[in-house]
Amino acid sequence: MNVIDFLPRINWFFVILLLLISSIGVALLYSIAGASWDPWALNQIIRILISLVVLILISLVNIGFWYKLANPLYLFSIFLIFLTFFYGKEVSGATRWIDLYFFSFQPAEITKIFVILALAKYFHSIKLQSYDIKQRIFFPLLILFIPVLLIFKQPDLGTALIIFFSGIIVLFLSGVQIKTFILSGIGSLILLPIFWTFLEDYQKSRFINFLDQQSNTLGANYHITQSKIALGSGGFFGKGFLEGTQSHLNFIPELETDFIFSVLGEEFGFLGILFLFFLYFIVICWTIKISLESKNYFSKIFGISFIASFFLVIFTNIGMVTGIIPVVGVPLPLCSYGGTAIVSNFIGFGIILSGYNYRDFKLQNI
Amino acid sequence: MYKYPNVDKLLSRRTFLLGLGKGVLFSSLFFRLIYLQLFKSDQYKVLADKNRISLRLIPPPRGSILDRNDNILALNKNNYNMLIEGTKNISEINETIEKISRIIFLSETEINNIFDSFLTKKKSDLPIFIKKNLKWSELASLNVNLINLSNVFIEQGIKREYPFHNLASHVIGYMSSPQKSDIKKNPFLEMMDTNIGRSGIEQSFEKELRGFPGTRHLEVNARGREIREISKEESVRGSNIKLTIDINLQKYINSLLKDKNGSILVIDVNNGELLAVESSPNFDPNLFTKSISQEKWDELIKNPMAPLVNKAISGEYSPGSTFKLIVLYSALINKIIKPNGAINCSSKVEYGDRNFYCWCHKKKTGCWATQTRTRKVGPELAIAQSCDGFFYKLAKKVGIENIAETAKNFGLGSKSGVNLKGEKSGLVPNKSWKKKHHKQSWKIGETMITGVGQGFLTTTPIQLAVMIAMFANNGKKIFPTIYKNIKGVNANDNEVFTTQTLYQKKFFSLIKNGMFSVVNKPFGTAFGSRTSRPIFAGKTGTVQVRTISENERELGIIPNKDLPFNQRDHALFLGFAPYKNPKIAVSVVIEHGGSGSKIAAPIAKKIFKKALL
Repeated sequence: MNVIDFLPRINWFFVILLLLISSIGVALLYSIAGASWDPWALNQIIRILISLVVLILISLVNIGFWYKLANPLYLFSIFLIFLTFFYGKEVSGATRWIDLYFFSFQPAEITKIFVILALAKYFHSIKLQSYDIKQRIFFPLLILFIPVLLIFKQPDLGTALIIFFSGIIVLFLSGVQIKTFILSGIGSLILLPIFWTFLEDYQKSRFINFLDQQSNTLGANYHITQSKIALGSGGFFGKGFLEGTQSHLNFIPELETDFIFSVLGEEFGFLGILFLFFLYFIVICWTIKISLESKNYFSKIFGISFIASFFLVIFTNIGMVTGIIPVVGVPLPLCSYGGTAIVSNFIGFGIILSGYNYRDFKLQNI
Repeated sequence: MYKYPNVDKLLSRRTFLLGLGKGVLFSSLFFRLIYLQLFKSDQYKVLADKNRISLRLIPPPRGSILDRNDNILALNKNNYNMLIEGTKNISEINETIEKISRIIFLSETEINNIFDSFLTKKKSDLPIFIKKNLKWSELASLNVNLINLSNVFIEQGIKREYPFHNLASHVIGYMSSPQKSDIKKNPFLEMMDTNIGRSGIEQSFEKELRGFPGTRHLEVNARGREIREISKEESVRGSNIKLTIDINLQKYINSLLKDKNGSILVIDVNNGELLAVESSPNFDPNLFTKSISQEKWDELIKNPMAPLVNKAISGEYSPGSTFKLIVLYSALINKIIKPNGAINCSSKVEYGDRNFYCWCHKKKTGCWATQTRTRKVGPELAIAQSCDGFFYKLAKKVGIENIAETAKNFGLGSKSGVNLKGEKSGLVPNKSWKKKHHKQSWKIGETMITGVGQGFLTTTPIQLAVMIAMFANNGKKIFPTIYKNIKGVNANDNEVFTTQTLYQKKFFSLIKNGMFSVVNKPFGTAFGSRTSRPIFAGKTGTVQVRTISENERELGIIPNKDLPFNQRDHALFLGFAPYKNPKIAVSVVIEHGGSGSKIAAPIAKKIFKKALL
């Protein structure tokens, strides 16, 4: 077999869709560096291209392979998180990174995919059995809580919450009774004060600042205020590519990662945001469509859970940037600068495409 | 028991529910963005514009200070300062300091100052000074390395320079960086690199000298780095202040006071202009411009001779025998003694259970009166000889109330109003004052002590200068002034004594005649300092700063040279010249200098010669 044989088997429509979103990110990175490929845009392109190769390779492998690999990958990601405690690189008070000589790696990002993968496999394997609380709820929660607590300890509250809710979504999709969610929702509200005491001081202050946004505009809410100014001043049509004053004048911190959406809003306005939303919408809908079309439960539940988690990150990021939820440092999927996030998402989409390519494959056979 | 449905169907249903949830969350983002980008857009556009424009103040060039002959006493010189761009990041500052330390020397104080200003300033977009007043060598080596220090820049500034260094430092004052309390009063001070006047003219005329700051509107980035200038308005230079001081005379007086602790004032008897105001020891105001080191500051502060204090206005001394002029004048206008009257004088006056001694008591030579066996002493001789016995008795007759009133008419007991900060008012005691402050009634003995200028009575050298000038000009009230040209302030309305009558001219000539004898008659206390060019008159004073016990009087009073420095007498001399047509008056006060006739009078003579010839 040579490469040419594989080309028709690649879902080019989806790949181009993902590349389109990624190139919006590259354009914004180019703009905030002051019309320069350095230091972000070029790196990002390289990462996208590497991730693209990874995606294609994964998508060409039979979904059964990923099904078999789900548990080892899950254990491997937990091992990686453990590594951060011993060999982690400390970045602003949190050890989330592993330094792999040529690039830094954030295990928490990839863990999100592998937790969903492991849960999907778990529910697939028990789908024919009768409803048993231990089996349907407690064991899945155990799978979920180990990485969540570890990541929470790093400390990376944002990602821990995202993984937690992604896991809950898998549970929801697997058919856990809705009243269980309602009851545990009420229960966690009661337990919230206890959880509060486990938070680090800076995490507490973020919440407090979120609740009190008007005052303290020069303090911790500075970022959000500046971000809102950037978005608001962009208006409907935006200030134009490379013309954003807020972003170019460097008022917003971490522009290249958490706040890249403000740059989009400032330079391309509401129109630009609509375009990005449209692309995200297609990605999400198309993923749900092909997931539901799959013959095996594993592909279905993974695809829908993954895309729900993908949406959750988008919502968290934009919600934070627009000031409707507290500052939790999560990147905008496919757009923000950051290798691990891009690779993780492309791995996730790769598995989905693999499920699509082998949608008729019967996992019961293995 | 829960009947578990078909998982695939359930999944589809749950996916739909999840989709609804996503829809709700997405709508919230959507409407939020509509609100921000469509409804609030105009408002945020204004905020975005405001964000990138920063107002910087340009410090105005400060007015110069000139002496009466237009010699420049204080001026602005260009200097070069190194600054770091405003930042919120302390590690950036750390790094930069480390880099700079490899190029030029930064002292520990300088580094501490950088962190202090980083921590205290409110606006993070303002640059911070790293080092002020760069030397040429430092400037050169920095300029070469500036490419590697992207957040550091060098700015031309202005610094105050005092070309005459220590001369007239108490009058000119000095400048230093504003304190927190100053910034509270004037928040603009924080926004520009400027020092403020701390003493002397620099402080009194801070407002006039400072001028108005200019403004620059800059487009800046979030770190406060200048991107471009939008508009600029030049600053307005502060007014020059021309002083009445003659710096050459001041220089001469400074040399006369070398290694002495005291003060000298030279005043124009006709208009009150101060030609020289010297307080010794003094200081070099240039030290403060360069942000004075802790050791230098301690040296100034802890020096027992208080170099930072202007003794000419802040020193309060008993006037000693110079006060006898007041007592005599008071006696004359109150008709206690006639111009040709006389008092039986003795070197020891007993009153109550106390003895009051004349300076001539038990002296081998004695005074003129004892030598010539004159018992009766008239006013002129009493001034010339400074007869304590005479004034004990005279003061007793005049009474403290009359003496106090006369003293106040001559400006004692209240501030002279000269435009220098830190002036003290001295003290002219009377009965009600004592009742109020000591809860005791006045004693006659205290009147007698006041009669020779001791006791509760205190005066400042500037008050004494005004007093002697008023004797010289026959009682014309003068107000000491230090500057010549400020609009509106220099209303030196020379009001004439309201109580002045024809007789008084006669009294003044009588007293001046006595003062002439002090210097120019063999029995005068300052005869040793006489000169024919110019002929001057005056009054000596030797102020005792310790109590002499009866026992010590019996054994012989310990001479000054055998006493510890701070127990020695203060030497005073007040005089005016030329005698016939008085132009200037001087007040010489040498702390612990010894006798007025031996120490202070010769200094006055030299000043008259220098100033009038």
